[in-house]
Formats: sequence, structure tokens, C-alpha cells
Amino acid sequence: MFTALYELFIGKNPDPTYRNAVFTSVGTLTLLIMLVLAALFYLLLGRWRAVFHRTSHWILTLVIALIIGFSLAISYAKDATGEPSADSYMYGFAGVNLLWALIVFVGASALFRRGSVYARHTPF
Amino acid sequence: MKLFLFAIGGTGARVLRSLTMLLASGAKTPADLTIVPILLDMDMQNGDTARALDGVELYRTIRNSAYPNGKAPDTRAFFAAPMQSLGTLQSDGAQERIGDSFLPQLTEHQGTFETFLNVSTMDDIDRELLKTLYDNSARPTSAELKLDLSVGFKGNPNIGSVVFNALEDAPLYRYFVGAFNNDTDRIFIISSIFGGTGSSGFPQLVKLLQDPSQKTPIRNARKGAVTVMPYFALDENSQSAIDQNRFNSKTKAALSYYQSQIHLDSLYYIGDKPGAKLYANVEGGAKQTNNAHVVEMLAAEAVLDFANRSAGEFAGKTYYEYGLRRDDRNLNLVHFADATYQNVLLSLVRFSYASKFYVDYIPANLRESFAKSLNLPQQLGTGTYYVALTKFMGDLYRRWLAEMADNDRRFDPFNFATDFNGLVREKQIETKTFMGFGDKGITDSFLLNQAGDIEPKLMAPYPQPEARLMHLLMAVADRCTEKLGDLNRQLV
Amino acid sequence: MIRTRFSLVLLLTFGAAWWFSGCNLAPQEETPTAPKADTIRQINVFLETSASMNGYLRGSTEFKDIVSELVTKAAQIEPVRQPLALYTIDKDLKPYSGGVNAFNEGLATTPLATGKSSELHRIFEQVGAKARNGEVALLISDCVLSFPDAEIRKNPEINRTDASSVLKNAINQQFAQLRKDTISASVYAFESAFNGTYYDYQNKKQTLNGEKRPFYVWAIGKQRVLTLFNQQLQERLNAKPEHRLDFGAGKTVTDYDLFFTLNRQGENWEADKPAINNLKKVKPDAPAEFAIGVDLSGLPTYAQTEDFLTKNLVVSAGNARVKLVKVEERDDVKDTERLKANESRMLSESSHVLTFRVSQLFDAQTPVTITLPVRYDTWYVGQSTMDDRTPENRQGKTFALEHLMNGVREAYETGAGSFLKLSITLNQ
Repeated sequence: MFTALYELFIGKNPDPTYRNAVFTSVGTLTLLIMLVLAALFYLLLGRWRAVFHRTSHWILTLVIALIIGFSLAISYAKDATGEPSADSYMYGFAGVNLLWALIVFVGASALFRRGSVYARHTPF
Repeated sequence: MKLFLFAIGGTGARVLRSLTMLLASGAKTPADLTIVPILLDMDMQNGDTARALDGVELYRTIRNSAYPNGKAPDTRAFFAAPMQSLGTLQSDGAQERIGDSFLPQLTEHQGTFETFLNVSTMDDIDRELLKTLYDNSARPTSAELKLDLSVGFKGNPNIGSVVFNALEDAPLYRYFVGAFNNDTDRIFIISSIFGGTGSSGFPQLVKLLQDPSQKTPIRNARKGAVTVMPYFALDENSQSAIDQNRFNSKTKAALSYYQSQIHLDSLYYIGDKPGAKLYANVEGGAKQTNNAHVVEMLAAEAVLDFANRSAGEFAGKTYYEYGLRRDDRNLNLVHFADATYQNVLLSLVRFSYASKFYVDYIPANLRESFAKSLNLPQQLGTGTYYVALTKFMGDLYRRWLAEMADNDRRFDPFNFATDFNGLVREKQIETKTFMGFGDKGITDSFLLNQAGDIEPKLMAPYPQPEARLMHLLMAVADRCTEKLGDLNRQLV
Repeated sequence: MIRTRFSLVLLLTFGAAWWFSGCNLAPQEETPTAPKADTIRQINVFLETSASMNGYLRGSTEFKDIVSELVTKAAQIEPVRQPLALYTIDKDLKPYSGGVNAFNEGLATTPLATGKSSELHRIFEQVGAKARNGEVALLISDCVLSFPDAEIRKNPEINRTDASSVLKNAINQQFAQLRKDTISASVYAFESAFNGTYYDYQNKKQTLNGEKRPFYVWAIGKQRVLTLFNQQLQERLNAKPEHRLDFGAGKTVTDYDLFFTLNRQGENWEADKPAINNLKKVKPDAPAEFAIGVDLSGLPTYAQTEDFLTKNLVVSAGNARVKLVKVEERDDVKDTERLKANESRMLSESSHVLTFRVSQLFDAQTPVTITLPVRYDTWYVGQSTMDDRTPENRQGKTFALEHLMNGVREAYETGAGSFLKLSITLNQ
């Protein structure tokens, strides 16, 4: 499923490592990290005290989420392929993963905000 | 239980204004109480009356939205007791509708006392007799027969009693009789003893209610009255028909009359030595806007006291007077007896927190979740309910308090100009902080945490944002009151 | 205070982000730990010294030169943990304490071969014991199969009649044991002048003067150390053996790496080991070519040659046309600097790259099997005789060598049957 998602945007890489070891792991990991981040924002901090609940805080979290989404993809791909430096395909992959992270985080936000107390209407 | 509340004249209106504030703040009332205020005044333009009406109308608007099913959650809720106008009640046998006003027309007559009496059609003997009874001098404005009745009786009960004598045939009274059908309903009358409208209307009204020809539920109903005795002084105005020098002599005369003629279950008397602040001597009309006085608030408490008494507590004619714990010119919460403190003043403390939260805190924090959840960013400045609440809590309530604070005797328990911690003058909320951490009392973040915590829990029981807001205000005010803790009750 | 907390949260989150990007999240592929440099524990040289060996040592013979060089060069092989050990062996095993130089001198001057006649399978038994645990045993022998003297006296024809059964089986038993312990063997055949008494199969003495006689050097040890030993010995040795034969105990090679760009032809296919997907567009005029990397270093040396592989690799591809195009040794592969890290790693783990061409596919799924059947050289058959009584019959030949070698071969041929057996599935 993730393979299809990534390859839709960046095409196939001849190296099967991407399909076998990178796409699914990175996609799943990104999904989980975004869920965790959103849960952290909405269900943990957002229920604890009204200290980190504003739209500006949300945007900060989103930026961090996107940084994670991007760097996770790069580092994972570099690691799996053993390349010493990232190539253009990896940047494309990281870009798509950033998009994926964005979608998941925003989606998770829409989902989790109902469970929040102080961030129930952040940022919507 | 319906309490038919006749508020007669300018003083009646001012007491009704205070009563509205007490009811809004959640002063103690019986659970089933409905108040039916009936303002009796010839002076339809009276400033005091207008302000009282304003308050009652806003009260009714707010209450309708805050409690969509008509029931307040408890007797200490804000705006707990419903206020209904007489015209909205069912009335048997009344041929004429009287409209939805809390100030029904007393008489259809327009013009001077002379034309009210139809002096022009009298024969000469009657006319001469009239001239011996009433001043008919050449002074075009202050001569009694030349009085324009549309601004009241200007401290002349001898005119008012004539007009009120016709009350029995007035549509408003006939409607009242038709609407009064329940044995548990009660009647209460607010009047001043030294004015014109009140002092003349009160005996006439009581006489009507006591009349043996009156229908049984009315005759048997528990009846009470608060009689406000002089508590202010007017500045000298030679142009005015109101003569304050006659206030005390008129009071004495009236009291002796009441002793023998007025037979009610409960008779409350309240008055005060006039303070240094002089009231403008205005003969009624829009210009008569006297500052609120603590006496009016206590008179309003008398209404509640009467309503709170159970049916079994009435044992013949009982007189009540009000006494402060100490005769100071500057009053604070501590000066009042425990009953007043418990039943009224604590409610005001709570309502003041709510007022500050709603009027000061919320508009500055519309981005927060609880505000968004209540639709406040869109509604606060435009929705009828929200605007009414802002006007009531921010404008009417605070002006009422400010006027009492500015009066003599002075009652100034709240300071809205400072933060939440200093709102109750009698006790500054102590902050216990160390290097920026610790208890900072009622701060913005404290309020945000409370509101954020409370509002979601109200979602299920109160899906309508209007009702939820009202409950949120009460709950936040409760948290603030908890933070405030117990107040000192020792006079020092 | 809210500020303070805020910046704390900020710090934590960025810290987490840094951590994420810094650490290795991908499951670690078995990184090729720099192939552990194989070390030979010890090289043990055994010189057979039964009486029949005497002829190689008298006068000027190639034997002395070759053995002397062999021992000298073997002593130079590294890395070894312990210095070379020398033994003489006939009926008994005797350590030679003098060292390499003394041994070489002794070959020339001292009559070494004076021992009793010995049975070959017993010699292999003792030698094999010194070929375990990373040691290499080197046996120098004429490799004449023979029953004990007493048996021959009872039945002079016994060597002829029972070599193919009794003696062969005894040898087979010994090597089967070695094979079980995954120990391999290589045989080098040399030739030397022979000056002295030759015992024919009936144990009758004949005196030979300079007649050319073959002799053999067996190298026995675990496959990896044996490969190292063979390689180094061949590099160092000036004397080239007449023949060589390897008996491998290595397992069948089944693992391979599927390259995704190396030697690639065709656009769309995807390498997804053990399959190649999306080969739909393959046609005779638009074939697909793919390369696989295999590690054949465990195979006998002759089986590692391009020539042997090209001739013997069998590609069975059912209803598809798949052909071996090219066999390259790792070091001959070109354009390696363009390879991605993954392919470089795959290449470094391989000894050979095999390139195949798919030119026609009919089925949605075609399983392809690539095998390299075990093949042994058969030079020894021509170098074997069953009657060594006359010079004509024994010229350059060894009595019953065929049976000896067959005994060994059969020990190593059981089971596997293939040096290599790879499976790839071609998917349209």
C-alpha cells in the first residue's frame, strides 16, 4: 500500500530495497509517529493543562512532525541502501513522506481533537 | 408558586431593579418561584422605571435562552427564578388584553389632575370644595390641580389616592384578578411611604385586596409588603413640586394610618438616615434616575425573604425591620447579618466573578477551545442572548454596584477595575509563588484551565451553547469562589 | 512561566527529531563483516617413508626437488598460527624434529624411506586426524594401494582381484568420515625419476633406474583453509603438477544476489529476489538481461574457472527462453564505480557475476533453476594400471589408482550432486 503511494509520485527505484525494506517501514513508522505526536499534543498535553494548545503551538508541532517525516525518510533510505549521501530519489521520497506526514498529522488532529480538552478547536 | 409583585412608583421600580440583580446572581429563592412583577406608575417615562424595566426585560431574554426547558438547575443558579409579565398569564373573565409589559397602563387618562377629576363638568359647589382641598394657585406647574399626571404625583399622596381609587376598574387590575387562581400564590407590594405614587397607591391597593367582595384566593393569599421610609435627601429645587421637608411628617402620618388600616401577613419596614449625597429633585419623567442605594437592595431582599418563607411560617400580622451589624457609612460584606450574607451577598460574589469572566476574560480569549466550542467568536458580539448577557453583566449589574458604591451610605464590595484576585475588596486572594512557580490565585491560565476542563463536561447535558455558557459561567464562578475561600465575618 | 515550559517542549521535540534523523532506524542488513581473514592453524607435512618410497630419494630425482620446494614454500604460507610441522609416516607416525632445512638436507643425504610397507587407508586415517580444526595436512606418497605383505604371500593376486572392492572401500570409508566433518581434499600429481626397488602388485622386487614414476601430494583440510592453502601454494610453487583434482566438501551454493543495474538490459523489470517481476515486454528483439552474483570461492578451483562455468552451468527455464550470456569473475566486472552502495556490497560478497538473457516468456510465472552439476576430472583413469609388473604397463602409471580415486570420489559425491543450485522466478 505504501509502495503504491510512494511510487505514484516518485516512480520505481531499481533497487528492490526500497520496496522490500524502506517504503512500508517508513510509511508505517511515519504513520505511528504522527499519531503519537498528535496524541501527545491533543490527548496528553491537550488534556493536562492549557499550556501547549494554541494554533501556534499546533503549527510548531506540525513543523516538527514534518521535519521528522522528512529526515526519517532520508535517514532510513540512506541506511537501507547504504549510500553515504542522499540522492535525488531519496529527496523525492522524503518529500512524499513529508506530504504523508502532513496528511496523517492533520487527519489525526481532526480525529484526536475531540478527545482533547484545551485543544479541542485547534486549529479548526 | 407565583409571587405577584406590585412595585409602586419610583421607589418600587428601584427596588425591582435591585431585585432583578439579586435574582440574576442566584440569591436564594424557592424552587418553584415565579415572579410576576407589576409596575404601577402613572409616570410611564420615569427614568428609574425605565432602568428597572430594562433589567427585567434583559433578565427574561437571558433566562429564556439559558434554560431552554424553563427549569433552572438549582435555586442558586444565575437567573434561576423566572420573571413573567402579568399579560402573559392566563386570566379568567378578563375582557381586555393588557399586553406583555411589566408596566401596564394604570389609567388611560392623559393630562392634569383637574381634567382627571372632570372639574369643568362639576357644579360650582363641588368645584369650590375641591379648591379648599387642593392647591389651585396661579403657579402653573406646582399647583396641585394643575399637575400633569403623566409624571406621577410628585410626592402628593392626596392626589395619588384619588387616582388609585379608580384602580379597581382599571383593565390591569381586572386582569390580575382573573389570573390569580391558586391558593399557593402570594402577593407582595413594594412602595415608599414618603413619595407620591407609592404612598398613595399602597393603601388603596391593600384596601382593594382586603375588600370582602374580593374573590377568595386573593383574600386568602399570603400578602406582604415592604415599605421604604425616607433614605435620601433631595437638593433644593424651588421649581419642583416635591417638598422633602414634608417627607418625615408624611411618613409619620402614614405609619399611624397603616397601623390601623393595613392588615397584611408580613410588613417589612426599611429606611435610613439620609446621607450627604443629595438626589436631584426632579418631578419624575426621564430625568428621575436616582442612584441605586443599599436600602433598595435590602428592600429587594425583603421580597425574597417573604417568598422564602414556607406557608406554615405565617402567624398573623408580623412586622420586620432591617438592622445592620454596625452603623458605618461605608459598608462592606461583613456589615450584614448572616442571613443576608448567606442568601444574597455570597451570590453577588459568585455573580461578580462570572461577570468579570464573561465580560473581561472571554472576549480576550476567543481563540481558546471552550470559546470556539461555544461559538463565541461568532456569537459574542451579535447573538441576542450574548449581547443581552454582556449588557446585563457588564453594564447593568456593574452600574448598579457602582451606584451603590458611589452613594451614601456607601456599599462597595467589588472592584472590577483590578484583576480577579482583587475583585472582592474584603479579601485579596493570596498568591504563593516561588521563583515563578506556585499558586498565583485566579490567573488567566487558571481560568483557561478551569474553563477548558469544565466546558467539555457540559457538552452532553447542555448541547445548546446558550445553556452551556450559563452553566460554564456558574461553574467557573464556583471555582473562583473556592479559590477565594471563606471571608472574614468578624467586624473589626 | 508558560514561556519557560514552551521552550522546554520545543527543546524536547527538536531533540527527538535530531535523534530520529541521527540513529539508524532501518533494520540492519547483515553487513558483510570484512570477510574474516582465514587463518591456517598449522600446516602438517607427512612424508610417507615405507620402503617403496626409497627409489624417489636415491640419486638425482625430481621428487627431492619438488618435495624440498614444496615443504619450503608451504612453510612460507601465511597467515598460519603455528609453524609448519613435519612427520614421517609408514606404519607409524613419527614427528620430524629437525625443522625444514634439516628435512631438506635429510632428503638428499639420509636414507629416510626405510619403513615397513603401510596400508594407504591407515595413513589417510592418521593424516586426516591432522587436517581438522583449521589445520592442513599435506601427504606425499606414491599412492600404491596394497594389501599387507602377509596377505600377498597367501594370495599373490589379491591386490589385483580385491583392490576394487576391499581397498577401495577402506579408502572410501576414510574419506566419507572426513567429508562428514566437512573436510575437503586436493590431489596434485607429479612425476619423478625412480632409482631403486619397486614392489609390484605381487610384492616382487624390481630394480628401476631412472624410470619415471608418478607420485602424489594430497592436501587435506577444511574447505576455506584448503582454498587459501592451494591458492598460495600454486602462486609460490615453481614445480607445476601434472594434474590436479579437488574433492570438495562444500555445501551446494544456493544463495545469490540479484543485481538491479549491473549488466542490466530492459527497462521495466524489477529485481525482487528471488523473483524478477514485470517482464511483460520481453520479446526476442527486446530481451531482458539480468545479472546475479554468486560466491563460488568454496568450490574446487577448477570449478571456479570461467571456462568450466560456461560449459557446465545448466539453465532450466521451463516454457521460457533464458540463456547464460556471460560469466565474469568479480575483479573483471567493469563500471563498478557507478554502482550503488547496495550493489557494490552485493558484488563484494560475490566471487562471480553471471549474466542471463530472457528473450521469451510465455507463462505468467516461470521458475528458473540454474545448476552446476558436480564434475570431477578423470585424468586418473588413464594414470591407473592393474598390472605393474612390466615397464610398459606401469609407465607413468600407478597401480590401482583408479580404485583409490573412485573411493575418494564416491565419498564426496554423495548427496548434493551440484556445486550450485539457484532458483529464480520470472514473473510477467
